[in-house]
Amino acid sequence: MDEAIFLNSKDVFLDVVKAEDYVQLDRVSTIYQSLKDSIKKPLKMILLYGKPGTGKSMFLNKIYNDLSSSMAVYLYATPILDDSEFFKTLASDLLNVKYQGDLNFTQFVKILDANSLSEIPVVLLDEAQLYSTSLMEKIRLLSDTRKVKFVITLHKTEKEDIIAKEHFQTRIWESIELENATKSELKIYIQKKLMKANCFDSANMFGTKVINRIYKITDGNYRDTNKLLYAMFEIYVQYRNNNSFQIDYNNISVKIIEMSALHIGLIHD
Amino acid sequence: MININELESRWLKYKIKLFLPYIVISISVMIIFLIVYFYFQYTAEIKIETKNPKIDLKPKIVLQKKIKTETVHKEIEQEIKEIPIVEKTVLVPSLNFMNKNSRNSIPDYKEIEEIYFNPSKKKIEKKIEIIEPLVENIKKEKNGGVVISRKNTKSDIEHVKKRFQKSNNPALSLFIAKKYYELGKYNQAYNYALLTNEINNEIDASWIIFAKSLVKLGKKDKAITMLKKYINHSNSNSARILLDNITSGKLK
Repeated sequence: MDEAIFLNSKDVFLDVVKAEDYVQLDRVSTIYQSLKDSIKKPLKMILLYGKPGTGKSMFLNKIYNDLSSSMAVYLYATPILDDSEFFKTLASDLLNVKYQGDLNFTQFVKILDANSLSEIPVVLLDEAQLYSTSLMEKIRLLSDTRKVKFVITLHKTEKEDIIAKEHFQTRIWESIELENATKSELKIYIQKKLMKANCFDSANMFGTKVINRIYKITDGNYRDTNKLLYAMFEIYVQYRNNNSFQIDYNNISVKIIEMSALHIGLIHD
Repeated sequence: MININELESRWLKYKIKLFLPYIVISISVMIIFLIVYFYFQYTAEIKIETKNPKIDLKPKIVLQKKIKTETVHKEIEQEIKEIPIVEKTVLVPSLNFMNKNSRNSIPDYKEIEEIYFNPSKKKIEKKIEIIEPLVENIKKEKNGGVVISRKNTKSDIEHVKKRFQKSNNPALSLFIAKKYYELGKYNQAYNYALLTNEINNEIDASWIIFAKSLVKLGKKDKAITMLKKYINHSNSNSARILLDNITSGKLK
């Protein structure tokens, strides 16, 4: 087997958020369709939450990618932490108003009232837990005007259940939770990802035993799985070059999976 | 670039760490199993050891059973054992005196045999009735001034004892019992009569010496009880006469 197969397979699992890398899984597709439908309804705010690595950013990217051609959708993948900068960016993107100097919430609402929009713009805010509480309050007030729709993603932390917060409870029209993959979903995810990149041979190397081991290590987390498999194919490439390991081309070696997990810190020696 | 060698050694450590609890548990279970196994084996050995004495006692039990079949003899013996006549040791027949004898040099018993049991050894072994007349004959011969004299009785008894020890002939033990009775050594007479009864409990003369010895040892009641039982069993005339003598006070 060619070394290039391992190299290509490794690149498939690069931890980047690209809408074209989105893998269709039954449960995830249902959630995605539900989110799309929700956006089209009159809403104040949609909350997308889940643990890190469950695909929230990928969801927003996919939504943006799918809807941007037909709707006024604006994605802010990186949080804009300064209030004035945030409103100036919104004024520029949504209303095409270039504002000089500081722009506060009141001024922005005035500009919003002054500029009539043909359709309600949808603002996608990723990593919303990084916004300050005061800015989040202003975003809430802005959504109350019903002139801007917000879809925000939040990390669901164990210490703090964001949904429980009062200001979200009263205003969220819909909240969607994203979860880690199940074993079968994880297998489909890995194989679909590899097959999308024409890595059929390496896709066939993932048997049930291997999937179970990966699942045990990553708990079905997409980001951890990507990191693990990236490191794993990197080790395969090195073994292929060194000829120091008898590679079984029919099955992924559990030893190499565990070595990868050690390397990226998912397990500890 | 990943350092594969370092990662392999880390992986090895990880695997050892992963399986260490299982190894420890397995070894612990094995040790516990071995301890339990050896413990039970040890306790089983102790049980066998405690059982062994019972096994050793078996022949004794068998012996007792044999005695039980001979009902009269057994009952008498038990009663005698229960009640000491003079001292405790007197009532328990001991064969130590025989062991002592065995250490002594073997005498020229042919002479003794010629002196005391001239006619035939076989007859003596078979029936005591034959011996008694012989002994009487010897006495008669003595009375008639023949060879035997009472002066040598002690050494004679020793010779006969050694012979008895060799042959276990009840005729010889009865002879010794009679001799001791004559010498007034009623304890020894009692012992040898008891020994004779154990070998053969059908000999009248032995039971008579036995009863007489008891009377002499001051156990008149026991002698009467024993004789009554023996008479019931054997219907012996000589025993009946002796019983009359004891009850009437002729024999004291």
